[in-house]
Amino acid sequence: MKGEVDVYTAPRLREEILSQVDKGNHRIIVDLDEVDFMDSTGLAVLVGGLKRIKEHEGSLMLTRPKDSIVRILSLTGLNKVFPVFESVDEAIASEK
Amino acid sequence: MEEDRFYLEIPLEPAFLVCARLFAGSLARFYETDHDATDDLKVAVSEACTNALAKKPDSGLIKISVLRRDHELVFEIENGGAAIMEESASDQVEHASTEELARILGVELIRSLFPDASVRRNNGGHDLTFSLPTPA
Repeated sequence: MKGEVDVYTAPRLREEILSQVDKGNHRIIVDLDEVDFMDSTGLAVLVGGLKRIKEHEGSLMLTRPKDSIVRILSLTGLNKVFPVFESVDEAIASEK
Repeated sequence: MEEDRFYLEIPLEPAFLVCARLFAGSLARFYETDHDATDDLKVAVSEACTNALAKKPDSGLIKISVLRRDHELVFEIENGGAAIMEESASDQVEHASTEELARILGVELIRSLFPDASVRRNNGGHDLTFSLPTPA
């Protein structure tokens, strides 16, 4: 993902997550390294994606979020819902 | 007392929210607000504008006015939406749709980032007001 995730761009994120789930990919890493901004719409899409993935006993992990996104995850309590990793490799390793 | 006023109107369309954030972020940067506070401001502005979109009023515009005075930036975001601060509670999260969840989280974020934010009714909508301290 790149750029800003808000009400305008969040549908694309939602489509991509659902597309991956439909393809049978139930262990998804959302790498936020190039995401400069995210608001509640983006968070809601991630939660919706997680709910869908959980139906398949999968996982949705976040990697390399910027400080501003770490902050809103914390303020909303979603830092307790999503595993967050400093690197994609760490996220992958956590699944082994 | 010196005051500066700024004003932005954007169409009530999702594509234009980035303009509102850019406007807010630029003002914060111009008045040398710290980076974290600027990030908080952009989230709050984005949430307020998203709330306006959710209700789709007739006016077709989001109006943002900013007053700089006494070492603070006072943002007033006028929209035709429901009063954002009146919305929802966290116990509705479990069964909320994605759109409803976004509004619940949006309210939570504004309340957390700007606890002193206030809502005032205007003609058919509401004004959300909050202030951001700026360096002396």
